Amino acid sequence: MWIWREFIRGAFKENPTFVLLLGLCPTLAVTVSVENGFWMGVAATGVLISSNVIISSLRKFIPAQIRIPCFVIIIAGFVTITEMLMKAYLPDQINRSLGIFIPLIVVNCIIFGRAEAYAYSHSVGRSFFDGIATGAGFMLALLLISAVREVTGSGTILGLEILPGYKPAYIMVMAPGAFLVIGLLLGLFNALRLRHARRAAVVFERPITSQTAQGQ
Amino acid sequence: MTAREEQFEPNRLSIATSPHIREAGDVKRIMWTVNATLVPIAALSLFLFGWYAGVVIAVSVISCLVFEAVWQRLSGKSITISDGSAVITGLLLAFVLPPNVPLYVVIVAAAVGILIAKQLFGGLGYNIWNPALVGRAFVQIAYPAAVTPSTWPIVSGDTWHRIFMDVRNAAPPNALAGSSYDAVTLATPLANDALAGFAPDAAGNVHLMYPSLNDLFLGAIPGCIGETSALLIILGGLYLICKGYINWKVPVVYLGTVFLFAFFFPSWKVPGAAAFGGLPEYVIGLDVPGRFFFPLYQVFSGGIVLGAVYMATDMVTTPITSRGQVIFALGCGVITASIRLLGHGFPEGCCYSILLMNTATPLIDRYTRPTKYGAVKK
Repeated sequence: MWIWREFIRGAFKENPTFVLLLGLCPTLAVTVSVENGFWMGVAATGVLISSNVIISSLRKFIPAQIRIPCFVIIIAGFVTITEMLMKAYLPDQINRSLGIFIPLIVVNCIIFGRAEAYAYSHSVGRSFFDGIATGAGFMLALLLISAVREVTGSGTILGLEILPGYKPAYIMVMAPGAFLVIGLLLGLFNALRLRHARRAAVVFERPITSQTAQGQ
Repeated sequence: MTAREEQFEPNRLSIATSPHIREAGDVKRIMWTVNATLVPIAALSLFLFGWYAGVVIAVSVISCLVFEAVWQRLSGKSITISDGSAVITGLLLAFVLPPNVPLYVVIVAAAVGILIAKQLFGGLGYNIWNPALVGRAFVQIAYPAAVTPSTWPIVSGDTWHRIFMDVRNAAPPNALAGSSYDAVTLATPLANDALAGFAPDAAGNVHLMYPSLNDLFLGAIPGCIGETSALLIILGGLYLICKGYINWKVPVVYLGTVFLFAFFFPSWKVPGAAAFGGLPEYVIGLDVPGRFFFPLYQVFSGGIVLGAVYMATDMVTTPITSRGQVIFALGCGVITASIRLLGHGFPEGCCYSILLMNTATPLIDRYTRPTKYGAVKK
C-alpha cells in the first residue's frame, strides 16, 4: 500500500512541475509537441530511476561533505548513456529538437532534488518507486503542457491534424506560449486545490456544528 | 432630546476625512467620457475604411463585454460591464487592429486582453498591462500575417484633399494621379521594406509613393482602424485634458521624445532613400522646413498618437504621480523611437513600448513616492 501512497505523493501531491516548480527550463523549452514532451519525459524518468537506485545503494559509502559531486558523477553517467541510446535509436528529428536539453538533464533540479531529499536517506526499493512516481509526475506534466501547446499552436496532436479549419496561434509554440500555458495550468491546479481544501473543511465542520447539536 | 444630543445627531453633522470638495466624477463617468471621445475616431474609420471596420469594432466591443460578463458570472463576482471599461478595451483593441483583420483574430485578442490580462489579475484596477495592447501583442505574434495592415482607405488621400483641404499640392506627380492611386495596395507607412508604397504610373514604371504629411495628420493613410487620424485623437485628448482625466505631460513628453529622437537620429528604413534630404518632393505636404519633416512624419505615422493619448495615460497601468507619469512617457518615447529607428525586426514600437513601461510602473511608483507633508529631506 505504501507504494500506491508514494506514487500519489510523487506524481500528484508533490508534482515536480505544478507543485514544486522544479525543472521548468526543459519543460518550457521542449513542450512544443507531444512527441518531444514524451521523449523528454522518458529520458528524465530513466535517469531519475537509475540515479535514485544507485545513489540509494551507495548512500552508506558517499561522505556527506562531498555528496553533491558524487551525485553529479552518477547522474552524468546515466545522462550520457541515455543520450547515446537516444542518438542511436530515435529518429534524427527528435534528437535535433530535444538538442541540448538531454545533456542538461545532468543539472535538472528534479533529479538532484530527489537524490538529495529522498534517495540519499531511503532504501533502494523505496528510492526506486520514488523515481517512478516523480518521473511519472514529470511525464504527466510534460504531456499535458505539450498537448495544450501542440493543439493550440499547431492544430495537431502527435502530428495529426485534429481540427480542420482551425487557425493555429503561432505564439503558443513559441516561448511566450510556454509561459502562458504553464502559468494558466498552475493557476487552474491551485484553484482546484483551494476549492478542494475548502470543501474538505466544510465537510469536517458539519458534524460539529449542526448534527451534534441536534443529536444532543 | 437635549440640545447637546441634537448637535451630534448624525444627520446634521457630516464627519469625513479629506477630500472635502467633491466632484461627480467616478470610474463610470470617466470611462464613458473616454468612450465618447473615441466615437468620432470610430466614425471616421467607417468613413475611411468602409463597413467592415465597423464590424471589427462591433465584434471587438461585444466580445470584450461578453468575456468580462461571463468571467464575472463564473467567478461569482458582481457583473460590472456597465462601468464602460470593457467598452474602452474593446474600442481601443479594434483601433489597433488593421481594417482587414479576420474576425476570429479580433475575438482571440479580446479573450486574451479581457480574460488573461485583466480578469486573471483581479479585474479593473489590478491589471498590470493595458488589456487592449496585450490582446494586440498576442495576436500580432500568433497570427502575424493577419495583423499587418495592408489596405488603403476607401477615400484616397487625393479625394480627401479635395473634400476638406482644397488640395495643397495642385499638381501631384503622375504616379499619384487618377485611378492608380486608388488601386494600389500598400503597407502602413511604417512597414519594413516600405515607408512608402509602390505605385505604377501610366508607362508602367514603378514609383515610390509616400502619403503626404497632411494625409498622415488627417488620417487618410493605410494603418490600423483607429490610429490613422492624429487630428481626431488630439482633439479627444484635449477634451480629456480639460476635464482633468489625463495628464497633458504624458502625450507631450511621449511625442516630444519621439520627435527629438527622430530629429537627431533620422534614418529611413527604406533601402536607397537617403534621410530626410532625399525624399521625393511630393511627400512634403505641409510647409515645414525639411529638417523638421522627418520627425513630424515619425510622430504622426503609426499608432503613437493614439498610444500617447489613450494608452500611456491609462489610470490603472501607469504611475500615480505626475513625475512618475513623465518618466513613463519618456521611457515609452525612447523605446518606441529605438524600435522604429534602430531596430530591424519591427516597423512599429508603440505597443511594446507601452507594455514594457507598464511592467516598470510599480518600480517608477516606488521611486517617485512624494515626501510626506512636513517631512524634511535628508
